[in-house]
Order: sequence, then structure tokens, then C-alpha cells
Amino acid sequence: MSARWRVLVGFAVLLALLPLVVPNSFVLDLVNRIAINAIAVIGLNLVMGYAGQVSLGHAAFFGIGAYLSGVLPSQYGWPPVAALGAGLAAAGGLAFAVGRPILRLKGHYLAMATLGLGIIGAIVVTNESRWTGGPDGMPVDALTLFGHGPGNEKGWYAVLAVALWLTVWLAQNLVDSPVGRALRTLHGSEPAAQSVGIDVPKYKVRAFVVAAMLASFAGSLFAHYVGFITPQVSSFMHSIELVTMVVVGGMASVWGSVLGAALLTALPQLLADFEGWEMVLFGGLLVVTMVLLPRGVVPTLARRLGGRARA
Amino acid sequence: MLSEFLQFLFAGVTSGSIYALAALGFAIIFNASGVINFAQGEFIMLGGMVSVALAAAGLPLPFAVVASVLVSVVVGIGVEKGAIEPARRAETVTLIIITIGASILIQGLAQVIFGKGQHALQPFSGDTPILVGGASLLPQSLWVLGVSAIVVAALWGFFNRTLAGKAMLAVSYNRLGAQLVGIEPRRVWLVAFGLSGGLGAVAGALSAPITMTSYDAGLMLGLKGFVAATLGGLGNGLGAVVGGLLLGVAEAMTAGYVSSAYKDAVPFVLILLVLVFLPRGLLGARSADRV
Amino acid sequence: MRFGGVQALAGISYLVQPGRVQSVIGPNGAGKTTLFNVITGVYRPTEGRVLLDGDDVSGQSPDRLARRGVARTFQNLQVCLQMSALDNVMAGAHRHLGQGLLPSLLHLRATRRADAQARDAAMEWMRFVGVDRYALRDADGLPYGALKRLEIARALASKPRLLFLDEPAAGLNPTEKVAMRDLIHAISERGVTVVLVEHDMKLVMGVSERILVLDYGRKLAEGSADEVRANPDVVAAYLGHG
Repeated sequence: MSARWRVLVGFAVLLALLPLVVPNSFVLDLVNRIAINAIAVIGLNLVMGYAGQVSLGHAAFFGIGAYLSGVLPSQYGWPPVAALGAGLAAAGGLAFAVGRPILRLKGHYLAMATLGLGIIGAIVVTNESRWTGGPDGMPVDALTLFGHGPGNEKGWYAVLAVALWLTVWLAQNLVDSPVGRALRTLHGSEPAAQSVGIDVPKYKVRAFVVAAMLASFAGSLFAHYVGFITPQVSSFMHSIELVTMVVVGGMASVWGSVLGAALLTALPQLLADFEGWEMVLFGGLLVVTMVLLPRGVVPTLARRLGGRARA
Repeated sequence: MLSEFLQFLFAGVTSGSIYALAALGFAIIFNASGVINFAQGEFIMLGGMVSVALAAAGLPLPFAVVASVLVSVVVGIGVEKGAIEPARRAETVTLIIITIGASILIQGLAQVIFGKGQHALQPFSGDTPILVGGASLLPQSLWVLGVSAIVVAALWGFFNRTLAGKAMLAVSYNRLGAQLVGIEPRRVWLVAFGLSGGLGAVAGALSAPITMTSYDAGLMLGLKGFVAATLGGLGNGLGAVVGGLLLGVAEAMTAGYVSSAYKDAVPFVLILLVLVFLPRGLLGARSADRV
Repeated sequence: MRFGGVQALAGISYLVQPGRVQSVIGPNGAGKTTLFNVITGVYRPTEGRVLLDGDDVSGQSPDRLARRGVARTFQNLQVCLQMSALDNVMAGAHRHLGQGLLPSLLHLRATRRADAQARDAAMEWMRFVGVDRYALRDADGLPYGALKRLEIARALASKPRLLFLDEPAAGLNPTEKVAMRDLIHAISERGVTVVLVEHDMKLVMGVSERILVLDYGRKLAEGSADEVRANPDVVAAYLGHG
């Protein structure tokens, strides 16, 4: 068995054993939210960490999944799974359509364009209240397939753990493949990538599409899991949360994304005790972490431990 | 018809001036350090909130406004010293996250100190509208336009006529070259953050009587300032002013003639369209990559 | 070729001769790298055409030309420093690997097998240029000479017919320069047509069967090493004060 598979099997075992040590449904709920965020963050890391393209509007794709899963079943009678698929198609289609013109941009101009895209998405869901309930949000039907649903937190954990494991597997496959190598190459040097025959715009768009679909997937899961969504899911701040998870966990590290999602999903819960001071502490911790660990937690630790393990 | 148009134009130029000041803050910091400072909006918020708080505490309005600018300058310098300088060598994305962290921190502090409520500052010289061509113009709008024009002129003079200003431009053109002739880039960054802090606070205090302000008012203003700065071409001072005014007018016209619900989307639609056709903004430099 | 108001190249007709090593020389700013960039598709020529096997390929993107067997290295290194040396070279094989998104996502057996072959081939190329001992190290931190060779290995991994080397000897010490000359010979012996831009006259005269001399964007002379050396214009414009 290759090293990669040993780690993946280890992760599967960890996921299987986790419910045994989780003390209560409150913590299990937190774990479930971490899994949902991690799926979106792994996708975003493909764009940012591997392909080297900043995206400050990724919550737009999360919002597409969440709102299609919210609107289509409750207002048009779609089966939830079909709505989830529609979300994947819509997010992937949008990323494909806007990817070429936007991903031509460099640096801060790309940041601006993706940010703009995200904000437009948030404004649309806030304003189209006929479907989305506007700023107040909307309830979402339960996720069911042939009349069966995950039910309580435990059932959801099973669904989300499988989804997360599959996402990690797919992402690691991609990273360790000709397509992944092409992405890392164009990140390192676009002239070099072109000189070996890599169609740079095409590969950037591919990463963007995969990331958009994973975000939409996570958005659909989130909508059904929580059962209620507001425009917050597609807001600028949510985009920033996702980017922060990528960067804190570590760019170009799939495991870093999982850790980043875990840290930044759990942190606000821990800070909730410091009533009124949550934002101060969150902002302060963010600055301190990035100043001390500019490469993110996992790559920095990997380097410190002297290991050359490529996560 | 005309009066309606004029009404929208006044509103647009007023908010456009605020965006221009915000955009100049972005441009100054970007030129000096290559950083996009996402905390720029918080300086604007501080200008409004500190003025409101001090005025409420009984300080005469002019002193309250000046004090808010000073507070914001200090905060700007603090952001540079505490968050940017220690991470100078980090990647762009990391620096973006750091400024966002600073922004959340400042917002959090403002929330703790000033609370969550919405506040309005009293207008600088009354609120009796002046009628121009059938449209009414608030005296505060004149304050906004006048002070913005003075600030822009002063900045132009600073960067083109004074040694300190020229030194800052030199750093933006060629950091190493500037260092060789004895300009200390770190001091330039510090000045840039202080200056942008002050600039933001001026914008915030000026607009607070018109738009109301709250601890979280900085986010959208900051983002629109970023749009305005990018619209004109990042780092281009004239571009920032033009971009800001353009944005304000486009927004006001959309709100007036099309839909006020989508007013906030205008800057972002506009910037996407511009970037698709002009990847470096309206007045940005065209350059080819050297290989 | 012009940039704004600057005429960078004018009236140059240049025929790359298959199977040979040939050089483009000239003083700084003569337009050598610009000529490379026009031929390899980085710049679109404002006038004139680039023909490959008789097809007009002017202004085709570098990646399309690369897929037709045109490879190159760069004057200022373009190595991906965040990747391992081996990954850099494997990237060179891109055009010969399965490029579908789904096979990559699912790690299909065929994709894995092709990738494993590319890995072996890349190791082979690294041995060929002499950097195999660095294979698993990050490119960041490799010695300069190794990075230059790594770029050549990457270009070779794409199995090019035509290889453009932009100043392969720049920054190398005398021993490394001699080794570079031998490497260029060895590449040529494998049937790859090599064109180099180079300042080091000893290297140029040592490896080139034909030499093109540029000055101020114009063709000054073309011929064998001896012919170029004997050309009075060349001596005046270049060798005289070079």
C-alpha cells in the first residue's frame, strides 16, 4: 500500500472512531459543521494554494448550492438530491463561464474581480426575496433519498464523514496527477507552463470549476443540515472565512484545509464565552497567527519537523 | 426632469467624493508597500464613530472631528507597526488576511467601545437644503465636496512639491533605488498608513451626517473604495479620484432611474466589466511580462 | 516587431536548419531574446510571419507551439521553486500525458501508468543533464547551475524537435561552461535541433554549425563560425568591442 493510501485509510479509521469519543451532540454538531466547511475549503485551496489564483468570492458558489437546495425542493417540488445536482451544475457552469475572462487577471485585480462576483451573488439573494426570503432567510426541506434522510446529528455525521473522505480522496488524486502538476507549474511560472504545452487559461478554469462545484456541494449540505439559510452563506464575510481557513491551515495542503476548517469553525464557539469581545479576539488571533505562521499551520509544522511530507 | 437628474448627480458626486477619498487611501498604501489594506474601511468608520462619540460627550464638533482624524492616524500607524511590518515578506494572500484580521479587530473594538447602534453626526452647518436648478443640495454635501477637493489638492502638492512626498513616490517606483539614495522604506510605509488613516477618518466624519454610521459601516465603504481604486488603475492617484466619482454617480443614477435595491451591486458589476476589457483598470499601465 | 515606437526587429529572415546546432549572437539589446520570443509565440509579430513545417504559426500561443514540439529555456530562470526538481521535469512531459480532468480526479489506472512512465523518463532526463541527485529536493535552494540544467531537462522531457536555449551559459563558471557545451552536443546528437542565444563566444564558436549575428534588430551576418569571425562588419560591431 502506498504512503498516500495508508494516510487515507488512517483518516477513514479516524473518522469512523471519532463519534465514540465525541462527548455530546453539541460537539458532534460542531464536527459536522467542520466537515461541511472543509469540503468547500479543500476546493478553494485547489484554486488558491495549488493554482495560485486568489478568490475572494467563493461564498457565491456556496450560496448557489445552498439556495438551490433551499428553493427547488420547497417551491418547485424537486427531490433534494436533484436540487443538489442542479447546484453543482449551476456553480460549475457559472465558474466555467466567468473563469476565462476573470482568471486572466493578476494579483489584486483578480482579488477585486472575484470579490465583486461574490458580492453580486450576495446582493442577488438578498434582493430576490420572492424565492430566497430576502435578508430574513428561508427554511430548507430535509435531505431525503427515497424517503430516507440522515435524521439526527449522528446520521448526518455518517453522511458528512463519507462526503469529506471522498473530497479528500478526490483532491489528493488531482494534486498528484498530470492536471495537478500542470496547476502547480502554472502557479510557479506561467511562461514555464506555456513552454511545456500547458494551456494556462484552460487549467485555471478547470481548478476554478472543481472548486466552485465543491463549494456548491458544501453549500447544499449546509442548507439541509442546518435547515435554514440566510444571505450570510453567500456574503463577503463568508468568502473571507473560507479564504482564512485555507491560509491558516496552509496553502497547497489538503490536510491543511481540513485543519484550517476545524480551527476556524471551532474558534468562534470557544470565543463565545468572551461576550462582546469575540470579534476583537478573533481579529487579533488571526493577525498573530498569520504573522507568526505566514505559510499556515500544516506547512510550517511539516517544515519544523523536518519532514518533507507533501500533504 | 432636469431637476431630478441634478438631484441624482448631487447625491452621486457627494458619495463619489467619499469613495474617492477611500480609494486614495488604498492607492497611497498600495504605492508605498504593495499591500491592499482591507482595513481602509475601518478608518472611515472610526472617523464617523469617534466624532459621534466625542461630540456626544460634549466636545465641540470641530474638535471632535479633528480628534477622530488623529485617532485614525494613530490606528493606521498601529496597523502598520503591529501587523504589516512584522509580516513584510509574506505572500500577497497572507497580507490580505492580515489586513482583514486587523479590520475585524478594529471593528470588534469599536463594537465594544461604541456599541452596536446606528449613529448620526450633526451636520457641520445646519440641514437647510439649498435649491439649485430645482434640486435640493444639503449644506453637508458642500462640505464633503469642498473638503475633498482641498484634500486632493493638498495630496497632489504633497506628492509633487515636497521632498517627503517625492520620496514616497520614489519608493513606489523603485524600492531598491530609493534605498540607495537614503530613503528608508519602512518610514515611508508608516507615513503611508498614517496618511491613509487620516484620509479615511476625514471621509468618515464628512459623510457621517448624511449616511449614519455604525461599528460595521466600514466594510462596504472600504470595498467600494477598493473598487474605485482598481477602476482607475491601482496606485494611480488621479485614477482613484476619477474612479471614486464615477462610481458614486453610476450608483446614484442606478438608484434613481433603475432600482435602488441593486444600487450596491453597481460598483461591482462596473468593475467586472472594466476588468474584462481593461485588465489593469481605466488608467492603469499597460505592460508585457518579461521572460 | 515593434514595442510602442521601438522597432525591435526589422527585416530578418532566418531559417532554422534541422538537425544542427545554431546560435544567435549580438550585442546587448540587439533583439536576440525578442527573436526567440517571436518564434516561440510569446510575442505576436507586428509584421512578418513565423513558419513551422511550412505552416504559418505567427502569433500562436507558446503552449500550442510547445505541443507541436517547440521547447525552450529562459534567460531569467523560470523554474517552479515550490515544486520538487523531479516534478519540474515531469511537467515537461505534460503534452504526452493524459490531460482529462476526470481521469486525473479518479486516478484511473491508465493515468497512473502514464504518470509512472513519465516519472521514469524524467529521471532519465535528469541523469542525462546531470541533476538526478537533486530529484526529490525542492527546486528552491538548488545551485544556480543545477537550475539551468533542470530547465533543459524539463524542455527535453517534452521530447521537442526544436529546442531554444536562451543564454544557457550565463552565470556559469568555466568548468560548468565546458560541461554545458558537451551537453548541447549530446542533445544535438539525439536528433534535436538546437538554437541558442549566447554571449559566451567560446561556447558559441565551439558548438554552433551556423551563427546569426544581430545588431540593432537587424541581421548583420549569417554563416559558419569561421565566416562570421572573418566578417568585417561583425568584427566592427561586435567582436571589436566585445
